[in-house]
Order: sequence, then structure tokens, then C-alpha cells
Amino acid sequence: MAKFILKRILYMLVVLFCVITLTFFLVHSIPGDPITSMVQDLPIETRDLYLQKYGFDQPLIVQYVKFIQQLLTGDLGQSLRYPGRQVVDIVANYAPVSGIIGGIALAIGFAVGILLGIIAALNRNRWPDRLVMVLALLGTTIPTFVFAAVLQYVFTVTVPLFPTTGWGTWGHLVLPVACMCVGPLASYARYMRSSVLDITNQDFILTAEAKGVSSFRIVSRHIFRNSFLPCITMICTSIAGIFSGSFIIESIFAIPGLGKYFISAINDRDYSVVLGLNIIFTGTYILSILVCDILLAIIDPRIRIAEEN
Amino acid sequence: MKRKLSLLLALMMMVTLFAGCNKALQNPDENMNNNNDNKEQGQTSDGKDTNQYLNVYLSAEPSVLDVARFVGVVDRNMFFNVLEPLTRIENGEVVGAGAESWDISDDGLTYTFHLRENYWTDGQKVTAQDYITALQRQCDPNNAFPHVSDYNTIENFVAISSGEADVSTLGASAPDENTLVLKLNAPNVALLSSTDFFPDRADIAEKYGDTLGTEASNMMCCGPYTLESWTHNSQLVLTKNDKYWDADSFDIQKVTMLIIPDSNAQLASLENGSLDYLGVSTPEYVEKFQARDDMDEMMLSSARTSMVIFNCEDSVFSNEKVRQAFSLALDRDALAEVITNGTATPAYSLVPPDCQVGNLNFRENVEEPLTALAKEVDDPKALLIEGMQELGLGDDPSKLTVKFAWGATTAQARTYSELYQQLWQEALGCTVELEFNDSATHQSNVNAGNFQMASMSWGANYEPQFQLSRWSTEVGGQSRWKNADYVSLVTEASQTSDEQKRLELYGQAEELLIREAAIAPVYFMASRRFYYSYVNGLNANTFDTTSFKGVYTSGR
Amino acid sequence: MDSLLTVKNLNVSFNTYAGEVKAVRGVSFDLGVKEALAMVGESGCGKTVTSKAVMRLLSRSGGIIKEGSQIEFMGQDILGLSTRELNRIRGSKMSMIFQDSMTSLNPTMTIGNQIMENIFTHEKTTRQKARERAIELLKLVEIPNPETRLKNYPHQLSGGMRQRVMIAIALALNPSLLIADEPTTALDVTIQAQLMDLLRSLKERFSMSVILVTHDLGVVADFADKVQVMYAGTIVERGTVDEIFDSPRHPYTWALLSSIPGRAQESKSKLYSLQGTPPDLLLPLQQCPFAPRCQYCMPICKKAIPKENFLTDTHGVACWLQHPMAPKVTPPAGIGGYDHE
Repeated sequence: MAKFILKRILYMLVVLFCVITLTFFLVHSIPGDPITSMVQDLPIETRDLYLQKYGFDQPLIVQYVKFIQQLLTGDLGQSLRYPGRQVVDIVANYAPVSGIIGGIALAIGFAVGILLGIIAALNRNRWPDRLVMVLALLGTTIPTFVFAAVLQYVFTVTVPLFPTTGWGTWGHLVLPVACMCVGPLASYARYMRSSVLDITNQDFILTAEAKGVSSFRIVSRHIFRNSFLPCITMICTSIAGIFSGSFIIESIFAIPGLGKYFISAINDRDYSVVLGLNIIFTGTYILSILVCDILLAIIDPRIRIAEEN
Repeated sequence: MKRKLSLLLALMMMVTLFAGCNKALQNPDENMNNNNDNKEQGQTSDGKDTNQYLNVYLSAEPSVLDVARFVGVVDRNMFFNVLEPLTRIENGEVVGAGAESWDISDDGLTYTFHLRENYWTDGQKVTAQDYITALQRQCDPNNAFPHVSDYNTIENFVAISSGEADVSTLGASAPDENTLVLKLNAPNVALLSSTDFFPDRADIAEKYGDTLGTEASNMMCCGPYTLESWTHNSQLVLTKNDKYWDADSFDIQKVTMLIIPDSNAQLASLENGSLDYLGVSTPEYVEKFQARDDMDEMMLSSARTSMVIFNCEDSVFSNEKVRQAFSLALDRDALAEVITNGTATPAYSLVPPDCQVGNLNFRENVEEPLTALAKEVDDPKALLIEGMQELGLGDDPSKLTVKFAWGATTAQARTYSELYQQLWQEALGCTVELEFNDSATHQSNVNAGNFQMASMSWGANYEPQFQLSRWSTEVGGQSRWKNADYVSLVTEASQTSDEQKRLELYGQAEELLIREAAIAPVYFMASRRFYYSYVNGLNANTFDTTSFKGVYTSGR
Repeated sequence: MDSLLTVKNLNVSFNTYAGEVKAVRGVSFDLGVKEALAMVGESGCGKTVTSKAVMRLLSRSGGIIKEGSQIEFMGQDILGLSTRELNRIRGSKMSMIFQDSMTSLNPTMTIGNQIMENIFTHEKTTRQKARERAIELLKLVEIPNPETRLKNYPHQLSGGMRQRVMIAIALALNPSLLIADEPTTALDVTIQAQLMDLLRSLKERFSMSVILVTHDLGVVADFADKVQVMYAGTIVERGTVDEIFDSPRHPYTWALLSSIPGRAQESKSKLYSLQGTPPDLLLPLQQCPFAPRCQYCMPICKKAIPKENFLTDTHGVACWLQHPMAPKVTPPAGIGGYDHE
């Protein structure tokens, strides 16, 4: 098991390094530079000074090496668009916000989705099934910004139940989370439904029936456990995504999260932020895959025993 | 065992999530979300509410609230709330603020300011040295201050900022703590109306270093308001500074500035009262708000000109007649109507109607140059053909293809630029290709001279000097229009203290710019602001920098 | 004779998009205490559906037991029981084991838990006691190292062992009836033999009745007391094992017997195979279902369904050849042990 983990960590680092390098050169290849996107009219001397201060006048390779050196000391650099802010601090301040919304949305989407999927599967081709499938379809096809705009108008203007925008109280969480959980909910409902249907047709369910096991226990112990396993794989990769946030939802509800920050940074050509955030996102993603693999190995006896042998 | 482990893991996750929730939900400032705190509202004898507060919209997150490193106009406007500049503009006139009075030497090179008694919020006095500290930090090459050119008339400012001179040579001194002397390298009649001199605390700057101005706690205020809290990308809260010398003129105790990026969210916030006022341009909403009894409307001029700039170094647009033809071919009424729903005014000149030359209004005294040109030219197409022939491109406009670059990639952008395309193609018979880029790329292309025609807009300051001087740079501004006469006119004007004479010089400069069609002005931008009727005293003067002076709510 | 299980006029249909598939048409039979009944026939003849119907395990596959069917077990009307009452009987009084032991066991549950689940479903007992019983059962089905095996997962056992585990689960509460649906089909021949031996000894030991569903007549000979040959959802011939093997009467039975590999070896001929395919069960039964494939087919066979004719108390044949007016037909060489008349 230890060897398994170690090997995976090594792969993880290699991938991370490749991603960092690729992002670095890609970001610097976009036309425009941070200073022009911020200030329209700039005398040449000031621009040169600015470029010098941040090292942009150096050849790209030199900048790259310096960047890697900085990275190894844990310094992700300073934002250009927002002088004085360290990328690490930006992550520390904004990531939890995105994380909370994303995390709660994922949890709700997961839990409710799984439940709906089971209900749909157990009532195959009857009205609960059809209802859940329609909802899932809507959830997948309606664009987030449409849904968010509608929810925002209905629940903050027509029937003012929640604050329109902003962040800070539990009330501010409701609408953004509602918007964000629709996607995962739809996915998990459909996935779980097909998983349950698949398991239900398996022979060991028949065996359980033949043993006189109550249908409740068949669902809870036999069907659920086996159809749930594939969903864990899905959720692991989603977990990484919660910190990158949703640009659309954060813009519409004016939430100070990482998603909006990241996209804005690209528009502003804020190189250090783009790079820094990309590293964080990639790292989190890879880490979550690793955790997922380990988790699956623990939970699914077939994988665990295969690995042990 | 496995089961217990997984249960434990799940429990831990939930606890962490919950704790994280609580922490992130907590804010340094408790009244963060009490936009409507202290619900009990009474009225004083003069009809004003006892509880005076405002919820306003802020267009973007401030980059950094440090006078030596700030990037944009959002930051600058914030300084007028929390710091005290030497002068402000009130009711369209320059008035003393941090400075009670000032003397200008006869040659216009020395300004002596006599400071008013004012204090920082930690009790320390605002001294002349503080204003000098700001200038010193602004010209420090290490800070890479983006707005160096705004201060280029101060002796040695530019030289110091490019590292060629030592900071000790700066033309600013403080003979005593209440007197500030600025030395200029050339007379600049627009100095006080167009340049902002804010004070800065050297000890605070040193204490916080790079993080100065990144948090509410990392800065010091001395203006009508203090920055009480700053939740990045979310909101800023200003509270009234009772120690301010003019505190009596300010009724609003607390201003909550909400940063709302999405336009629908902004409109929804205005509609349900989360915002007290807002600029609205969407036609459906304009109608909706106009129909409401509890809202009023005011037009605000933006003092900004939307224009098409021509690249005078381009093979096609190096010819004046070609440029003039393209400028005259535009139906400015149609463009203003379609793109801005009639809020903008068609422009046949560069300088917007808000600009003043001293006490004289520029536009009232100077005829719009393009109107005169339009009278002289019957048919822009014929003019184009003449220009083409001069360039040796034949006489058939249908064989001419040119590019028009637009600095946005939204669906709206396409519609608007297509209107330009249509107008040109119909009037001139040539082919216009459209190019779209995001604003950063667009700016970069324009600055590099990588365009033929580009859409652009420039804001103006109090005096026409700022706007006109965009084309008096070495390369000829974004149009790359090198005209020595123009440069000398603008420079001379900026040093002429006689208002009438100055007006004439600016007028001549503008005429050159428009006649030779370095740019084609399109319209003067304006906006429509809707505000709840309980808000009184909102300022419609374009250049005023009086913060929330005179604003109060009554009957909220 | 008091029969343990009585099935009368069983009709089972499946509603498909193509129409109603009548998988079992009017099947009736009895099973006494300690009796072993073999149901043989090729795939799709309805033997599995019949056996599942007895335990009412058809709902998941959509099978509907039609009106007019009757199933009585230990004096109780099975078809009239509520699900709760039915669950009390299933697993404890009657059990079933299935063909594919790999898929018939829950892959994420230990063997021990799956056995104990059966115990806990029907009895209130402590975990310790249930564990002991599970070990006992594993020993009963001759699995070595039962304590270790309890903690194993199905995929850690070989096919033969898994099948034994299935038997252990089924036997946990001493059922009176065990239904074995093709238990040896998925195993190789030597393991097959071992397993049938085990089943036989267990049947003796616990005085169980067994219904053995199989398509392999070779397995039947040493195990069953009675045999029922099914074709197209009906019973075409039934009798004691001696009657069927020594004096089979139905052409289909002859075909089945001819296709036992051993026989071909004995008579040194090619392996016999029956031509044609089973009939379309969508269509109603209007003639002898075997007619299209029968080499002795007569015009009457295509017009009317032959009624079951009992030659002895136990030996029944549903074939027009049994009619007095039918020509005498001799069964193919090597079938049965009787003289040609």
C-alpha cells in the first residue's frame, strides 16, 4: 500500500511540473501585458520601469527559471493588478468562500441526487422515475446563468426572501448554493439511477430475495452499497472543483470567490495570479484523485485485495 | 472497523466544513451585512432622517488604496472620500480643501499652499511633509507608479521616476509644517483643476511596506470618511470622520459600497432597494423605473468622448482625405441612438461640453470643427475617391477593404460595430472588415500601431488639456498623428494663464485634430441615474470631487 | 400421500414490447416429502420460470403468474400470501440456489455475512451464535478452513467453493424444499460430480425435497426420484427416473437421451443433435409444440394439442403417438432398455 501511494505521489509531481511549465508559456504568449490592460495611457519610461520592476523585460526563459526558483520557496508571487497582494494570501482569503459554496452545493447535489436516483430506479418507468429524469434533464441543459438570474430576480425582488448580492450571512448562501447544486444533482441522479438499475438486475439481488430479505434491506444493504461505489469515483474528481468556484455564479451574486478572481486575472493579464491559481487548482485536482484512489482501495474490497496481492 | 473509519472520516469532513463555514462567514466588521441596520428611523426637525446612511454601487474592486501605486479611477475616486487633497472641485469650481489658500508666483512656476488644520484619524496632524511624502513615493522608481505623467510639470518628477535624478531634487518643499511649496518646470494653468495632491504618511507606508493599502487596517485616513471595512471583491464600508474639518457639511454617517459585477444583479439590487441609486442603461429597466413613483431620474454627463481613431501611419489612412471621408460618412445621430438609446449626444468635436477653461465653458465658446467641415464637403464618397487617387489606389471604392477594430467580444459589440460597418459601406461603397478582441488585447494592438481604424473612448478632465494632450506625445498619440503645430498649441495653451487666450489656443488645437481627422469623434457619453426619492442632494456636476457632501436621505 | 408442494395449472407470462410471451402454459405437478424432482429441457422451455414461480421470484424480471394458477406449499396457498408472510418462508422453509455463483453472491459482502444474513432475517440470535452456525454450515458443505473463509469475499473463492457456499446459505435454516437451478452448469465435470454427491448426501441427511432444474440428463440419473421433461412451457413427459430412462415415450425425450455424450460414445455414432429451434412463445398453443421438429410428426400433431396420457400412475406422456390409432414407433437405437415391439 505504501509503495502504491508513493508511486502515485511521484506521478502527481511530474504532472504538476508539466502543467506549471505549460501554463507559464501559454499565459505569456497571449497578446497584451498587465500594464496596458490596466492603464490606457502610459509614458514609455514608466512602462519600462514597470516592466523592469516585475522582471518582464527579461527573456522568457530567465523569467521561467526565476519563477520556478520562487515557487520552490513557496512564494507564488504578487498580484500585478492588485499591488501588494500575495497570491498565497489571495488563495487563503478567497478559496474558503468558493469552497463553502462549492462544498455545500456538492454535498447537497450528491446526497439529494443519489436519493433521487435510487427512487427513480426503484420506480422504473413510473411517474417518480419520469419526474426525476425530466428534472435531471433540465438541470443539465438549463445554463447556469439563466437559472441564477431567474432565481435572483424571483427570490430577491419579486418575493424578497434573500439578499440580492454579497456575502457574509447564511442567507447569502442559499441562492448561490441552490444554483450550484443543480448540475451535480442532475448528474448524480442519472448516474445513480443507471447504476442502481444495473445492480438490481444482478443475480445476487435475486439470491437475497430468495433468502426472504426484506425489500428495505435489499435496497439499503445490497443495492445501495454496490451502486454507490462508482459514484464515489465521480465525487472525488468533483471535490477538486469546488475551490475553483463558478465564475458565473460568483459574478451574478457578487460573491468574493476564487472563480471570478481567476477569470478576471486572465482578462487583466495578471500573470502571477493566473499562474499561482492554476498551480493551486491543478495541485488540488491531482491530490483529490490520489485521495480518491486510496479511498476506493479502502472501501472496495476487490481493489484492496488485488492491490495487496 | 472499516465502517467506523469511514464514519469517522465523514464526521471529520463535516466538522471541518462547518468550522470553515463559520470562519469564512465571519467578517472583520460586524455590521457588514446590516445594510439596513437600525431599522428605527425617525426624522429631525429639518425633515432629514435620524439615521443617515447610503448603499451605493461601486463599479470594481479597488486595486490598491495607496496613492503611490494605485491603478484605476475607482481607486482615485475612493481617495476623495478618505483623504484630503489640496484642492477639490465643487460646483464646477476649484475650491480649497486641504489647502486653505494658495499663492501663485507671477511666472507661474511656484505655488505656495497654506494648509488648513486637519488631522489623521489617529490624531496626528496633517502636515505639508505628508503631501511631499506622497509625491516622493509617487516618483520612486521602485513603486512603478502608473500615473507619472499626471505630475510631469513638477520639477524633476519625471527624471526621478526614471531613475535619472535623486529624490532630493524634487520640486517640493515644506518651509514649515503648514506651508507647502511646489516648484514647476513650466507654467501649468490646469495644475489645480486637473491634478490631485493627496497626503501620505511616511511612517504608515514604512510600517506596511508592500501591503500598504491592501486592507482597511493597512491605511490611514484624513478625509470626510474613514474606510471602516473592506471585504475584497464584495464591499467597502465608509464611516463619517467626525474630526474632519468640514464634518458639518456631511449628513451621511455610513456608506456601504457594494461591488456587483453582473448588470442584472445591479438592476435587481436597485429594484428591491438594496442600492439607493444606480446608473441604468437597459431600455426595459429605464421604462420600469420611470414608471415608479418612488424613484427619480437624473442625467449625468460622463465627460467622455467615444471616437474612432485612425492610424495615420497606415498605408491607407495616412491620407487626410481618406480619413476625413470616413469621419464624415458616419451618421452620428443613428449611432448615438442605437448604441446608447439616446443618452449620448452626437459629437462633432473632441472636447465634451463639461470642460472649462478657467471660468469659460469651452464648448459654448468654440464651434464644433466637424460641423464646419461637413458643410464644405458634399459627398464623402467623392472625397474618398480623391484620397484614393492621391494614394494611387485607383478610383473605385468597392475595391478598397479596410479593418475596424473593436475592443470587446460580446454579442452587443458585434451589433454595434456592424452599424458602423453598414454606415461606412453604404456611404462610401467600400468594404469594412470587423475585428474583435478583448479590451487588453485591443489596447495592446492600438498602442503598438497594429490597426487601421479602432474604436476608442477618452475621458476629459476639467480643462481640455488632458484630453487634447493625448495626441501631443512623441508618437502622436494612439493615432500616430505627428503634428508639430498641434503640439506647440497645446503646450503653449497649458502655460497661458489668460483664459481667453487659452481658450483660443485650445480651440485651434482641437480644430486641427478634427479637421485633419486624426480621430472621428462620434458621441459624448452620458448616463441616466435612477435614485430613490428619499435621497437628496446627489451631485450632477461632472467634475465635482466633493465626496458625499450635501447628500442626505429624508423619508427612507 | 401428503405432498409438500402442489402446483396446479401454472401459467406464467411476460409482457414484452412484442407482446405477451407465455413462458409457462398450464404446468401441474406434485412433490412429496423427501422427494427429488428433476425438471429437464432445453433453454427457454420454462423450467427455470416454473421453479422461480414456486418461490415467487419473478417480479424483478417482470413475470406475471396468471389467474387460475395454484401453488400450495406445506398447506399454504403461496400465491395468496403477503410479501411479509412470503419472506418468512423464503430462505427458511424453502430455499433456492442459482446457476452462476459468481454473480449470485454479493461481491462486497463477506461469505460469513451473507450466510449470517439468512440467519438474522429469520431468527433472533446473537452474532456469536450465528457465526458458529455459519462455520458449522461451511463444514457441512465440506469447505476447508471455515473460520478463514468466513472473512473472505466471493471473488477469493473458486467456482466450486462458491457453489458450496450458496448451498450453505440455502441450508442455513433447514428448509424442507431446496430448488437448485442448474447448479452444476457452470462447473467442470469433476466438480460437478462432487457437488451432486454433496447435494445427495445433504438431501438424505436433512430429509429435504429437492427440485433440480437442469438441461443435462446425465446429472439426473443418479440424483432424481422423478423426472419432468418440459418443452415450450408444457410438460411433455413425466415419470420416475427409471421410467424415463428405461422406457421413454416422447420423441423429445428420445432426442434428449440421444444427446447425452456417453450414449454416443457407447453406440459409436456421431453426437446426436436435434434440428430446428424452439417455438415462438408469443403465439398461443394450438398444436403440439414439438411438431415442427419431430421426425414422427403426423397431421393431427399440427392440428391439436395432445393431452397427457398416463401409462402408469406416475408415467405421463403428452403425445399423439400414444393414441390407439397412431402407428407404432420404435425409439432410436440405444434409447431405453426395452425390446422393440
